[in-house]
Amino acid sequence: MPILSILIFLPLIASLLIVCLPEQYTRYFKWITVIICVIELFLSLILYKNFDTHSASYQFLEQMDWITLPMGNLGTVSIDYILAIDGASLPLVLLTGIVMLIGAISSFEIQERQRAYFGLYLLLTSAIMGCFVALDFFLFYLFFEFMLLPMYFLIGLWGGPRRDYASIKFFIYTLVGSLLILVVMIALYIAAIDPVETALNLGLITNKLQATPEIIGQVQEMLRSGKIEAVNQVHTFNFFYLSDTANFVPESWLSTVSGANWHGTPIRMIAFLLVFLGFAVKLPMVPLHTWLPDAHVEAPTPVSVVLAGVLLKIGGYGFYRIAYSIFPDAANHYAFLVGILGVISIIYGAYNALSMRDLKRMIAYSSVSHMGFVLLGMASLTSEGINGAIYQMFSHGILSAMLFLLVGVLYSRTHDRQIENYRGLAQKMPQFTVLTAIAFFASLGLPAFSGFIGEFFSLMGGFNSELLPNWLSGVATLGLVLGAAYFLWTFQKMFLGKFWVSKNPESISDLSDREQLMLVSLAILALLFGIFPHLLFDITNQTVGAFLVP
Amino acid sequence: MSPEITSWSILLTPLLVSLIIFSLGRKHNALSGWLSIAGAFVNLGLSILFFVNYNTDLQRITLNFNWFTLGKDSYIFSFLIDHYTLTMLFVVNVVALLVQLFSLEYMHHDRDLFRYFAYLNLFVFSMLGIVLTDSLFVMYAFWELVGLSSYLLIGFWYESHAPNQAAKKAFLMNRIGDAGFLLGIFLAFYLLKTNSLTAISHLDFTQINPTLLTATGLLLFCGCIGKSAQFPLHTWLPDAMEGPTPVSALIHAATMVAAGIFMLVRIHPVLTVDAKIVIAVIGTITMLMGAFYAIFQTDIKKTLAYSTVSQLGLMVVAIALSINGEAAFGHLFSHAFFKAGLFLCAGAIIHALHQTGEVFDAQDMRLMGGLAKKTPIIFVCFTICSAALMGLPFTTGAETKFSILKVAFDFALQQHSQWTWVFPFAIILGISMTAFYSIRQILFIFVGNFRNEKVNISTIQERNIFLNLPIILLALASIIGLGTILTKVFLVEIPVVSTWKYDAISEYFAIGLGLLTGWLTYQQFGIKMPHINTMDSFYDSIFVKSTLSFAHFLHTFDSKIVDNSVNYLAKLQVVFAQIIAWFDRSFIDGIPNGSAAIVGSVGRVTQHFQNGKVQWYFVAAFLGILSMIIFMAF
Repeated sequence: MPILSILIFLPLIASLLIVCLPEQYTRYFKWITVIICVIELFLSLILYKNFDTHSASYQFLEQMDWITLPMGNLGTVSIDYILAIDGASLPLVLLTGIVMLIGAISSFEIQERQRAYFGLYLLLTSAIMGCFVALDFFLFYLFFEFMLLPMYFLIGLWGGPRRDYASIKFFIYTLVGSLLILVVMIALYIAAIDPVETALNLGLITNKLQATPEIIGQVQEMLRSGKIEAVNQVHTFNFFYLSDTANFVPESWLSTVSGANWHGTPIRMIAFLLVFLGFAVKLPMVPLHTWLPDAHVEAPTPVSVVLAGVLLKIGGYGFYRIAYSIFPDAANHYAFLVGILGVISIIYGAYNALSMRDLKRMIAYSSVSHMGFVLLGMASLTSEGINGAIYQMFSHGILSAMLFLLVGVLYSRTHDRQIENYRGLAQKMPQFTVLTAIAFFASLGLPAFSGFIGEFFSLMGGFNSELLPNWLSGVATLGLVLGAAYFLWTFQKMFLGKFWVSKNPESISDLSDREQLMLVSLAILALLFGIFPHLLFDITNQTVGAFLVP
Repeated sequence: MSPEITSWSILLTPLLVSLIIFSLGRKHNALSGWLSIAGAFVNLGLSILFFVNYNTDLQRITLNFNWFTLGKDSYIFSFLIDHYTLTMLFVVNVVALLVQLFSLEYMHHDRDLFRYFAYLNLFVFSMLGIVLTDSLFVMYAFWELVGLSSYLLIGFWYESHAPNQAAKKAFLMNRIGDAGFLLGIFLAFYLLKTNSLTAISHLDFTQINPTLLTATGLLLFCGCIGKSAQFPLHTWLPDAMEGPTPVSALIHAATMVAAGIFMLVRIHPVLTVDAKIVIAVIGTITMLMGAFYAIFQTDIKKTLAYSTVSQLGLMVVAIALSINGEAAFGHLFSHAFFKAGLFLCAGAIIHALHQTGEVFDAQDMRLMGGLAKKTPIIFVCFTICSAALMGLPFTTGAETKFSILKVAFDFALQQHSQWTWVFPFAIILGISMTAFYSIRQILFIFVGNFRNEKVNISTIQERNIFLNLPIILLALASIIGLGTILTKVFLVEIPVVSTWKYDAISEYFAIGLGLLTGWLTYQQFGIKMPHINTMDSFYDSIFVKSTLSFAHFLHTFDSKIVDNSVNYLAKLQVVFAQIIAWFDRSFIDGIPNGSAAIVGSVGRVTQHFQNGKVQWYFVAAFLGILSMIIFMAF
């Protein structure tokens, strides 16, 4: 069963269905969305269950030739429809399944233009899934761009008062980032060949199944010695081939041996930086982060949940899959730069969160801070660091979804997000208080919750890395203290003390069943992944190990 | 029972009890206390059984359970069962049981009783985790959980401001120490390639860079600075007295604050000579400063809190100066009983004063006096525990304090530099100050005339068995008899190489001097007490304010500079576009109509989306993806 294709196309088809259904079925749209999301989650659980944890290679591979275009002297264009997952993408596929379902349940509160909303929501689901399972750069880029559109409309149409500004800002930022990625993608395409197809072209083999490592080695050897003419080269976007430098045409800009440089900096390094910047926008990394608080503040709750829960992770995933896997030499070279940018994000985000008065902005800045740990872990290029970074992404997905839902609970009642306008909520909303306390403590890295594992190992990787100085992680631990400070302070101001609410105090009521369902399941997940880290580490360990020792 | 099952049951019983109490909720408030006591009873039984079966001086059992693998390293959830573990299990469980008995009466009017007992059990669970574990990584996890339960219990009365403030302060101060502790764990793992305490104790440290090893020891010690309230992070402990008094007894006197000492005992092999000197200096400062502040307190619990700070400092000095942790551990053991006893006595007094029904500050010692007649049992027990705190003869405190003093003199005699004599004499000074504030406290509370005009002294009474029984038992555990038996069973002899012949005399002279001056100042000045500024205002202005203003500055920077630069960039683009348009209009004359048409159509498209015709866009998006699919198919 082509599970990965189903993951992508099922929501797409459902989205079409919603568009085509007549008006009188409007009330079923949300249920269709929830059912599709349940199936998606179920499918990702099947993937999780059947994943071979002892293997570092790509699994559930689905491959089809898509576009093959002879371009004369430029060789042949080969774009494949390849889907597969490995230990780095499976946790994120699972996370997408979880968060999209929670987001769908949370979307029940959307009352206006439901057809468009749920259509776009399913389209977004499809695009995100596509991003995480695509193994072809072209395909990945397609999904990556395609994600922008529904997101832009979801913020721009269902958002708050300044939604136009926020959605345009989101769009332009991400678009600029993806242009940088596009440039590198084209350069990579020109540089790299698909050894199997090239062998086919050269007549070394008659069908793809005959491609043995020897044949591939032979092709790579021929490429190195310049024996393959440009006409016979079959260029590729396949991540698998892009991450092996032996597949690069020696005289191409991105090859390790061409020595192409710009004012003394090798083009490979520049390409790494461009991809890095492109994904850093998405992560987001300081100073490219200012679109995030605006987008969050204006976005409706479910969109915030999806944005923080999944979309930001595509930045981290892009680092791993593209920047780090294709340019490991540059990753090594720029480890300190990436690490220090991570630490700056941690500290800068935390300080900003400390001075925020709007609860949603505070949480948005805490996201910036927490995603900084992902950068630090990645930069370390150690097993602890990268595993920790992936864990941190997963954990932040769960916890930020929870945090934004909690803000949504309050906002839907009083239409007010100012921290100082609430006091002593614990008296009137005990369940809400308990769940907020869990989310806050889990986010500040309390052991027994998933955030602790992610932060601990990202920091440990940073500390033990030979590429990073020890003081860097030392400075990063300040983020832990500041994290505790802004969460506890907010908790004290809003929930403890005597009950007082400045606007609509009569509307304050405890959680509804639907809200409870979402929040409690996320809390259980945070606890589960905090106590049993092997649930994810078993998945990521082999893949990361193979990445570090190719 | 096998040690595996026993350790797991001891660890998990309080957690289970906590979860049960939580899920029963407020409706079963009355049941929660008894459930909790039943759990504590079971756990105490198991701990004693464990002790009887496995305590020998040499035996050290390590139990490993695979947790997860990362890279090539296995992270193991492991137990380390040795003499220290078994003794601590006993201490924690006994004090927890007695405190819970006490709480039955002390807290019975509280509408959130279930929450109280659930938190208390959560605390015991976390504390036992620290005691049982063999891995620094796991210890850090429980370490943080202890911080959480302390936060929850200090802020138990969440409707008033002061407890919340104190709880937050405690958590943050601890977090600062824990950040250092975390780095220490990383560094230990980096240097020693293990985080197992057993493995660390068997390592050969001669091959390891001594500077880094010193740094490791000091970073690990940061955890102790936070949790055991050492200078300069000590300020949270006096504030923590905002929590319920039984909590102060259990957590902020007997057990949690001792976790730092326990951790130092565990990591003792890592500490280099340089690290030990730094630790000894910090311990000395803490000991003297705590004793100094204790003198000037008027709140009954604050005096005891500063006295705890001081005693913890003494234990830290003891660890730093000795070749193993025995002397400090001994004092930890005796201190747990007499300090818990003192706090429970204070609680009983506060409770008795509250029972009179009047509203006043029931913790202010200036409003007490002459209570010995009205509360004789509390008076006797308080005096016994106080005597143990001072180190008077026939108490457990005398023995364990004298051991520390001997260790300090031993250290000074072994070293050939004169200045090492600072440590034993600082301890003697500390002992003298302890006697001074302790005798004054007894005089303030129990002697003289009752100084509170609001209350008729005849309404004060002590009658409750739940309050008195734990106090009596703790007092008995601090004095010759039961106390001697306990110290004989649980503590081991502390070997010293050389002794200073005047050590005992100087100690008794110091105590005598403290008692005498304490009595004289009471005779002379009564309850008059000058006000002493704590370090809080200093910290507030230096650290808290600067952090907040820096945060504010970064916020301004973020919105005014980072964000605006992007906006200006966008505006620049618009201006540039207008220049191009102008250029287009004025110079490229040939196709004015064409450009007008383009501008017009762009305008219409943007108009559409401004009007929110999303369907149109949605269809466009779909056409795009449809064409893609068609493209794909062919």
